[in-house]
Order: sequence, then structure tokens, then C-alpha cells
Amino acid sequence: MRHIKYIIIFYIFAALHITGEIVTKEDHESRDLKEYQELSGGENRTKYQINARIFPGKRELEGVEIIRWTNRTGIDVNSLRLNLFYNAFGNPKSTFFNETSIFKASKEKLKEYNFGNIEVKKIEIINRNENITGVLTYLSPDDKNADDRTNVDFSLKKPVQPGQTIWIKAEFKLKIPDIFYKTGQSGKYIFMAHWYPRVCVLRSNGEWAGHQLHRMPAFFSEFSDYHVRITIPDNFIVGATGEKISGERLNDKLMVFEFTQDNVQDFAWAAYPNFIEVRDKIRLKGNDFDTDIILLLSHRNRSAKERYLNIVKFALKYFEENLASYPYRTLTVIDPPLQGFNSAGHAYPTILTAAYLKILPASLKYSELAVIHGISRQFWYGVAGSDGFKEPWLDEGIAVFYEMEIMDKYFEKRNLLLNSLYLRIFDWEIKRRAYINLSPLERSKYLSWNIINNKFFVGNMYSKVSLLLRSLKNIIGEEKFMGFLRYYFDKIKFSHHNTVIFKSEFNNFFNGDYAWAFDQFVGTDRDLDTAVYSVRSDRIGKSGKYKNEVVFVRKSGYWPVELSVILKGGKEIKLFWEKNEKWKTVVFIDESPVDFAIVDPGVKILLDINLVNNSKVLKKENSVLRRLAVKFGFYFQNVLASLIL
Amino acid sequence: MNILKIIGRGFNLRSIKLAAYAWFYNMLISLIIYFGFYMVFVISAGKSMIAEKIGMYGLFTALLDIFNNFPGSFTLLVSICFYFGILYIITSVFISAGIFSVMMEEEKATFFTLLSASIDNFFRFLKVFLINVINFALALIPMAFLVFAFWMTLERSLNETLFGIFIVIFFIIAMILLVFSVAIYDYSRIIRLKDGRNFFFSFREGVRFVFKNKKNILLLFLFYFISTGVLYIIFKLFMSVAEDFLGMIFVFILYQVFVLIRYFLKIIIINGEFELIRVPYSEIQ
Repeated sequence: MRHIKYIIIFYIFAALHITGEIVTKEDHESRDLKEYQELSGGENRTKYQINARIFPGKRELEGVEIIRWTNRTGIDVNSLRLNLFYNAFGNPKSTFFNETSIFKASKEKLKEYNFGNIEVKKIEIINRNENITGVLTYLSPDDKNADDRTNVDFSLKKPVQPGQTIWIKAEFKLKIPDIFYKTGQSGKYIFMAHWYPRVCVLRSNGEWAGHQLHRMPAFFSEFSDYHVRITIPDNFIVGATGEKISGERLNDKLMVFEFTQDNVQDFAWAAYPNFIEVRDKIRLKGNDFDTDIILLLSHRNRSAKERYLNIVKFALKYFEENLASYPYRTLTVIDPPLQGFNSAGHAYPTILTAAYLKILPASLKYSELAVIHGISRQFWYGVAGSDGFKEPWLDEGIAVFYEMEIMDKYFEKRNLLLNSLYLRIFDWEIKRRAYINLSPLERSKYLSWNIINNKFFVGNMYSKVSLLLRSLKNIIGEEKFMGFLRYYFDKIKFSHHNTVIFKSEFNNFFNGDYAWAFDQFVGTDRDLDTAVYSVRSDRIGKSGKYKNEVVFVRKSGYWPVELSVILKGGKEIKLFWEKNEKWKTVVFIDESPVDFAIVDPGVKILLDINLVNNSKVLKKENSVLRRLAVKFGFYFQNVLASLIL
Repeated sequence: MNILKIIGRGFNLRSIKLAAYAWFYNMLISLIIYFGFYMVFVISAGKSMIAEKIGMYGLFTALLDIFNNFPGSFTLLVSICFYFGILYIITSVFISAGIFSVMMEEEKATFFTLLSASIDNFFRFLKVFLINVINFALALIPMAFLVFAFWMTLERSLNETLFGIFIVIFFIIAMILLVFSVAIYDYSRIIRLKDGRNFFFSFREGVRFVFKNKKNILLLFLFYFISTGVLYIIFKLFMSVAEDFLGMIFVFILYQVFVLIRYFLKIIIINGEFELIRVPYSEIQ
């Protein structure tokens, strides 16, 4: 009876699931790719003109911005939605801090922390002469947290009609927090991200996609044009999104730097008196301009110059050949000093923060990894936009896939995250480790504000997705697979894409249905385990022949997979197990008994959570294990020799 | 006395024989451990070809999957390491009892002389070792305190200069404490052999002697650290060839040579310590 109950529940859920799929697909298909592109780009892109003056001594910034914004939907807009992300650092009850376990755990931390915030002193629609400063409502659409002030709605006296443009002028003041995560000031090092009032994305149905700022890295914003003037004490060296078009002395103490960049989703900048500026350039295929590589190195890390330049150039060249040429004129790499290390390892349009620690052994390639990841995100967040709050895999997951590819190619045979005498670890191995240790998670928890912790986020969005893509690449073939990504990227660049578009384009390109892959492994807690269950060989009387039987099992998930049975003497029987069934028994008669059987002999499917059970020998043959034990013995012998005499 | 002369006196066949004695025990225990590891791997993944298939990338994934899917295997490996580590420490006391005694008596360094000296002096040396556990623990306290103080400082303000200074200070203090605690242990054993009195006496005199001869002892150990460092670099260069099975055998042999030379260098240091104590110890008497 109990089983019947479960079967009924299963069918109800299955039915609901299928219905849900149909509705979702229809809904998304109506917003086709063309519409996304029209909404995202074009001449009526949002333009930001920001004039900011920073006071590092007081840890304050005063700014005035003028935003040109056009309603590109066919629906009247009655309110204006802005992100004030800096407020995430202004209140211990903000969603950001709620999601930050270290602050939850330690009240002492909060006492010591210098909070920051953003205050919009005045905001008006200047081409309507409409002051909207007081008519604001804080909204928390993601988690309903009344203490969160990162998402604000301003009521408009009259709607902005389709095609109509408004000019918004906002005067704002920032209190700059300690760098706990991404942004803030630490000593004289400043990194400014999420620092200005920014208009949220307006969806084609007239709804604002206004998210709050969350602990897990996620972005969703419009492609816009930026022109930013930064006034700062003259001892600071400044790096920012886009091209520096001027740097002029305002008086004997202040400098004004001007930056401009079109068609990006954000503007971030860094300043530090002890930066060492290193410049190089690279000309990429199809670009009629050189891309300037600007390294702003913390003065103690000048020795890392070549390491950075080499990997930046290599990664850009890799993308040029395997995806697209980097489309901007500058790429700035910020090497934060130790006190600003909490800002390390993040990417913003045309600027990224690296992570170099002098004390780490050269065998650990984390610096390279952080740069590669940051450059990957220049493409899969910077150029191919998506709602990272809802579908972070499209940003981080694909970026990590490229990161693994580049790490492999850059270090060739020594392509390791850690390449030391005693231990060698590949980048993909670390990603796989994060994935195979994941615990079950409900579907709703895959939204970036619902995800339980960093481990789940990284495991699901970075690791699992990147391994899925690598596994698909391995079975489809590198050339074809990368060909698809090139085609797809070209189609969706400078626009917002989503899972439905990705899947549909994937299926169209390969002329097949890969729903089994994406539906199983993206945004679900499904994992994969295919195994050799048993191997048996029985001699048939005195015939000298053997009845061989090999049983394969799908313990979890489904993936069409190659199977191989090797007989004594080396004869190989290859099979392809495509049918979605749990068990497969292979029985045959041969003159030789089975030596071993193996699932996925090429180790192509890295999503498999248990590679131990992927093969089975008939009789124990342990030469490799012996070597493994010898190697371990080595390590221990060395420890013993050091212990004492 | 010229420290270089003292070091030079240790370079002889006898020192190699003594080092070989120490290496022999090291090898013996390592072999047992090797079989322990082997059995763990065979029990958990004996029928799988994971190491063969994944081994080409390195061993991380193979080990990860073995440990992940056979949860007891990692604990078992750690237990083997832990218990055999303790066994080795005790064995080390046994070996050193023989080596120190033969060096003291200037006897012929044959296996049986060493073995018999080890048996004769084992319990005396074990007591000296136990009292020196305090010595090692005391050496760890300032290190722990330093790390804690620094951690607290860094928590308040993460400063690159401070971090650099800490690393240098920590390294210097760690090396000095290491040298003195090991030297105290060595001299406790030497004095225990020279003087029939109890292990408390030998420990106390060991401490006194070490602090009276700080400079020479530091120089002796400086030689040891530099030569071990050079040895490690050479070894590392050779290790890069360990890709195939023959390479593994080559590296295995090379590794034994490496361990042997490390013991040889330590014997030279002990010999130097004997040389240093000869004159001053008569003054203690």
C-alpha cells in the first residue's frame, strides 16, 4: 500500500512537472531572442554620466549622476526601479548580511565593522521637472526582508510611455565600508563596485527585474553606456571600467580622471597610491583596434608582472580562437594589496580583481586561475548577459567551463591547479570534488537568494555545470562543441539570454534533443553514477570456450555511455548504452574469459560521482594500486625521516 | 674550536654506517606502512581500475573517489599513519640509543654492536625522550602564542607589511626554537651516556650546555639546514622524471639515497655535538 501511495504521488508530480514545462516553454518562446536583443541594445541604450568625488580620509564619496533611460517596452511604466546596492553594507539586518554566515555567527565582527551606505539626497526627472526624491518605497522582492534597502521604487506622477526617454538626475552620498566583500576601503586601497544608483532591468512585459544584493555573486543589469569623472587626491592611481580619456590636475591636491565605456552592464573602479601600473597591448582577430592590458599591481607584487601578463594574453588569445575576440579596448587587472584581499577574485566589465599572494608556493596556480576566471566572465557575464540571480549557471557555470579549458591548455602537461612534488591537482578535479560532495537540495533553493551557503552555490553553479559542459564536450567532440559556443555567443552577445534560449539553440545546433542532460543536471540535485555491477566468466565444459556475463547498472541519473569489455588476450567488445534503462546485461560466448569491463573507458563523463565502480576486473590485478601505495609510502617515509632521531 | 673542522671530522665511513643503521629501521617501518596502505587500497578498490584510468591525471581524483566511496578507508590510513608514527618515534629512540652509544664509546659501527647498544640503552634513552617531550612542548608554546597574537592583530587590520614582518619573525623564531630543542634533546642523551645520573640531571645539564654554546650549536645546525636544502633541490630535479614505472623505481632508489643522506647529515651534526662537549664537559665534572 505504501508503495502505491508513492507511485500515485510520483505520477501527480510528474504530471505537474510536465505541465509546468510546457507553460514555461511557451512563455519563454514568446519572448524570443530577437526581442531580447532589441531590449538590450541599440541606440536608445541607457546612458550614465557620473561625476564623483571621493574623500578617502573621511571614507566618503559624493556623486551626481545623470541617467538617460528609455522605455523600450510596449507598456507604460508607472514607477522607476533603482538598485542602491551600497545599502547592503549599511545595515546588519540587510539581506546581504543575513546571508553572510560569518556575520550571523559573530556579533563581535559587527561591532568592529565600519558600515557603509548610499543616501540619495535628491532625485528628479529633469526633462519633466519632476522631483521624485520623497516618493520612494523599498522593495524586497527576493526575500521580503523589510530591513533591506538595496532595491527602491520611485513613483512617477505620470507614466513613461513606450519609446519615451526620461533624464534622471540623482545626487548621492556614499559612506564607504570596510572591504568585507567586493567593495569598500581598506587602508588606502579602495575598490568601488555597486556604488551608484542603477536602473534595474525592465522586462518586455513591463515588470521590473529588480533584485536585492545577495551574498552569492550574481548580476543582472542593462547594457549601458558610461561616462564617469572621478575626482580624487593626486597621490592615488586609478583603474576603472573602460578607457581613461583624461587625467587632469584640478588643483595642487586633486586629480580628475575621466573614463568612458559603451555597451557594458556595470562600472567599477579601484584606487590605491601604491599601485604600479604596467601596460601592454594585444591585437585580436577581427578587431580594428589594440586592446590595452593594464595591470595595476600592488607594489609588493611587482614580481608577478610577467605571470599576470602571460596568462592575460594567453586567455584572450584562447577566447579569440575558441569563442570570440574580446570586444573592448581595455582590460584592467587589479592586483589588490593584502589588506584589500577581500575584493579579490571578482569580475566587472573590462576590469577584474586578481588574487596573488606572495607567500603561496609557485606550484599553486591560484593567481592564474583567478585571472582566467575573471576573463571568462568578461565574456559570460560581461558580453553575454543573463539574470544571474535566477540562472547563475549561465554566467558562472559556463565561465568555469572555459576556466578549466584554459587552465588545461595553458599549463599543458603540467596543467594543474597544484603542481608540486607530492601532489598534483587539476582544476577540474577540484571542481569535481565540490560537486560529488553536494547534498540534496530542493529546486527552489537554486535561486541565488535561496541557496543555503557558498558551498552549495559553488558546487551547483560553478562545478556541476562546468563538469556537465565538459562531459558534453567530451562526447560531442571539442571542435563541434566549441563551434556551438562560438555560434551561440555571437547570436546572444550584448543581450540577455536565458536557459530556454540556451537549450533551444543547443538542440537546434546539434539537431538533437539534449534535454536529458540539461533537465537532469542544471538546477536540480540529480547526480550521475553508472557502474559495472558484476563480471563473470564460466568455462563451458571441455569446449575451451567461456560464457561471459557482464552486468552494468545506472545507479543514479541517465547518460548515454560507451561500455567496453576486454577479454584476456586483449580482444575488446565495445557497446554504446543509449537506452534509458537501469540495467544492461551483456552475455556472450568466446574463447577467452573476461579480463575487465569498463563504463566510459575514455573517462569522458566527469559528472559520474563514483569512478571506482566504473570498472571491474575479473581477478584482482593491483599493479597500479601497488604504485599508489608506494607513492604514499614515500610520503610517509619522508615524514618519518623528519620526525626524530 | 673551528666549527668547520668539527663538521669535517664527521665525514667518514663510520658515519655512513651509522646512517645506514638508522635508514634500515626507517625502511623497515616504511615497508610495513606501505603494505598497510596497499591493503587499504586493495580492500576498497582492488577490483577497480580507477588508479589506472585516472592515474594519468594524477592521483587526487582516484584517492578522492576511493575515500569518498569507502569512508572507512581514509580513517584507516590516518590510523596507520598515527600508530606507526608513534611506533617510529619509539624505534627512533631505540636507534639513537645504539648510535649515540657507539659514537660515545668510539666502537666499531657494526650492525650487531649497534643493536646490542640499542638494547642496552633503550630504557635510559626512553626516559630522556619522555622528559624532552616537555622541552618540545615548551618550544611550541611561544610559536602558538606568536601565531595567536598575530592572528588577533591581523583580524583588526590586515596589513601587508605586518604580514611580511610576521613571516620573517616566525621563521627565525621557529628555526631557533627548533635548533635549541633538538640540541637540548641531543645533549640530554649525550650527558645521559657520559654520566650515570638520572635523566632529570642529563636534561638539566643538556639545557645548560646548549645555552653555554649557543653560537657553535647554531652554526652546526645552519650547516645541516643548508645542506638538507641543497639536497632537497637536487632531489626535486630528479623527481620530475617519475612519470613511468621505471622512473618510479629510479625515484624509489633515489628516495632511499635521499633519506640515507639526511641521516648521514644528522650523524655529522651529532658527531659535531660530541666534539663540542668533549672539553667543556670535563669542566662540568
